[in-house]
Amino acid sequence: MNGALPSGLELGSNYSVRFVALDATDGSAMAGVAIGNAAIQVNNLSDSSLSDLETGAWFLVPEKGP
Amino acid sequence: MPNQAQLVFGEAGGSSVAYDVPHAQIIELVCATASFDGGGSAGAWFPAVEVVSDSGHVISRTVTPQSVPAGGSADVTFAPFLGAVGTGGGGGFDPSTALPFNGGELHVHAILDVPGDNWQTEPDAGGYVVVSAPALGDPSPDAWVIPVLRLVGGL
Repeated sequence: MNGALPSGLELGSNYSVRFVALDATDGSAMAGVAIGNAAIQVNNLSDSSLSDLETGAWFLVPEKGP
Repeated sequence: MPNQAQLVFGEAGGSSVAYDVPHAQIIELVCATASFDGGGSAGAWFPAVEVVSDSGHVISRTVTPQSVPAGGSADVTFAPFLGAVGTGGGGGFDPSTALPFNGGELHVHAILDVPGDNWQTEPDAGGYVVVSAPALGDPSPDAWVIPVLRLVGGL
């Protein structure tokens, strides 16, 4: 199943990307849905290193070695 | 691609999972994916990904074009160009898919099942792909104008 994410979504400090399940009848949060295996791919637009993007339970996928 | 990063959520998920952009960081969201286990859901629902601003307001909400029935589950990918699947005529992609402004080149790979040989394809002025058989002297070539994809935007 796919969804058309807008392109060029630039997010600054304290913005969030949030996965949710929405009730089909009223758009409210749907109970009984567990979300896992979440992953995002981002372009780092900061001057800092990629490792600075790690936060909380989110971890950077290590690059493959040479 | 030194500035491109993949971030994974390392814990068992709950009813919502969020990545908070750390202080002094700026990112561009390219793609998002997750598994939605709706085994405990009592009604139909939509998988969604939201962008929440630093003030707590939802400024973008992307949902899938189809809902998931009660008790169902779905693996979902959210990315540009992964749009709605056509709902009429047995499926296929939406011929009126709009592209973002300055979307650049779009390469479409498709198999057109047409009878005979010497068929030709070309884009017409309206942005449609036209299939015709001039070598066969088709008396009604317009009948074979197939709106494979309508290109809209700054191309």
